[in-house]
Amino acid sequence: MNILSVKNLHACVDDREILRGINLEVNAGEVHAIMGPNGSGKSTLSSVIAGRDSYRVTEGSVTLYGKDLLAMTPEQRSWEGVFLGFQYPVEIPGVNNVNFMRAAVNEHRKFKGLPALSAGEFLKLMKEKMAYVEMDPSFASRGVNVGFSGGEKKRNEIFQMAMIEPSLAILDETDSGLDVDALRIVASGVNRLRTKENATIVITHYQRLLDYIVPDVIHILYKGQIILSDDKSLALKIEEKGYDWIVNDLG
Amino acid sequence: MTSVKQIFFGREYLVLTGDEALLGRVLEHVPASASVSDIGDASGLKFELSLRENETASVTFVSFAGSPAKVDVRVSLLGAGARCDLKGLLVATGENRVEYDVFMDHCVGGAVSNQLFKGMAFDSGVTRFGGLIHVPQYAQKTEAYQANHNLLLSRSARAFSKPQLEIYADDVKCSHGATVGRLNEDEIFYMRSRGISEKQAFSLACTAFAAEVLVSISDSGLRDAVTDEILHLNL
Ligand SMILES: Nc1ncnc2c1ncn2[C@@H]1O[C@H](COP(=O)(O)OP(=O)(O)OP(=O)(O)O)[C@@H](O)[C@H]1O
Ligand SMILES: [Mg+2]
Repeated sequence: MNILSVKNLHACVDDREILRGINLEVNAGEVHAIMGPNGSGKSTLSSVIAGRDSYRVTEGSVTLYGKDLLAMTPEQRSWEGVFLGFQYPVEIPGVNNVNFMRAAVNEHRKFKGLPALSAGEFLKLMKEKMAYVEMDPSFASRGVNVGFSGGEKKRNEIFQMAMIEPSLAILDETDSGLDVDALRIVASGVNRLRTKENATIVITHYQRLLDYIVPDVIHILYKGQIILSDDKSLALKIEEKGYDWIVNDLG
Repeated sequence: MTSVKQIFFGREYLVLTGDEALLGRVLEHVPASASVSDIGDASGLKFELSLRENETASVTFVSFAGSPAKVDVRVSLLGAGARCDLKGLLVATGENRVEYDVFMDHCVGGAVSNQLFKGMAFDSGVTRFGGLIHVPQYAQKTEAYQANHNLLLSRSARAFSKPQLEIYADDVKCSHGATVGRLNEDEIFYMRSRGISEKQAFSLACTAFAAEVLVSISDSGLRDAVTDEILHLNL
């Protein structure tokens, strides 16, 4: 079953075109990896899918289960199943993790026609999901990402993903800033959340992450276009030889 | 018919001004140990406080739009070791102005004052803060701090800030700072990307902004009641 369908997507910032005709089909049960040099447009693609309004879509379409994502607000996209693990998670001073996640979870429940969780039920769920990424319970009462180390922020992203259980998770460089143990923990958290019904897109620069979260296909994004898609062996070649050979091969 | 309420408990004062119905809702949550008095009416509020040697006071002002729109605060620190903490939240909605003028008079040396005033202007609301810290030449070893931060929540909202230091002593620690800003778009997008509606994201961000002031209301029931009123303001 098709979850995400991106067709000929073009997007600009100001007058500069950053995405220049992206095509991507992601089906249930699949893991896709997107690699590509710095500045090629990976984060832009994920932001456009999540609904950030600083990008202007000039052409093409993005659908989730056949529904037009581009017509939805960011929160609607989240309710429909999109989750973006941010490359740079945002600090929100004054809003603690509990209140933040309770608001998020209850809005998702409202969308599904379920009653809000009681404080007790919520805290139990939170504790259970924090364990997925071995997050210290003391983080619950702290401001969202405030004063978190780089690695702690990334764990917090996966914790949030575990709370929300999205059908399409886009993880933008979730591995950057993680030490080797944290990488393993975070990757196993992601794997634990995988089912036959959902799909994951991991954006990464390193083969290392893909040893843990094994992709069905790897796409190379270059200057706003997917110039090559191949199986997981591609990551090894890139680790060895960089991107030049692909670009040169394609002339 | 508006009145200004002063709630006094322990060493802590909470001064509330604004719409009567709203104040009524908040007052329902005043703890039994506190005393409540009227200290002004629609024509205005002058709040005066003098602290002698080693006396301390902590005053939190919360002003919602509505009369009196103008509050004058005058604090005289009369003895060494006196300490005054002032916090204030100015909330202007509709076409209203909420204005504060604070005069912090360090009449002797060795006293400490600390002010944090925050303004939130919705709709076409206006907040204005004027703060003067006066430290005469003989008031050595004074510590005086003042900060005023303002959040504009609509295109036509405005905030005015005029911090002033008149310092004639040389052995002092003083600072002041003022900012005016809007809600952080990255924060709002982050919240919305988790499924929090735009409206609720704004509410959370507003509460977070106000929290730094409201945290000094030590009674949690009362603090929550004031927070609730802010949550229910429409953007
Ligand atoms: N809001 C923006 N304003 C201006 N330029 C932008 C904006 N967002 C992205 N760009 C530009 O678009 C290009 C693609 O950026 P993007 O962040 O998508 O790259 P990336 O592939 O994620 O890179 P990295 O691997 O370094 O994370 C870059 O040249 C970047 O400077
Ligand atoms: Mg990026």
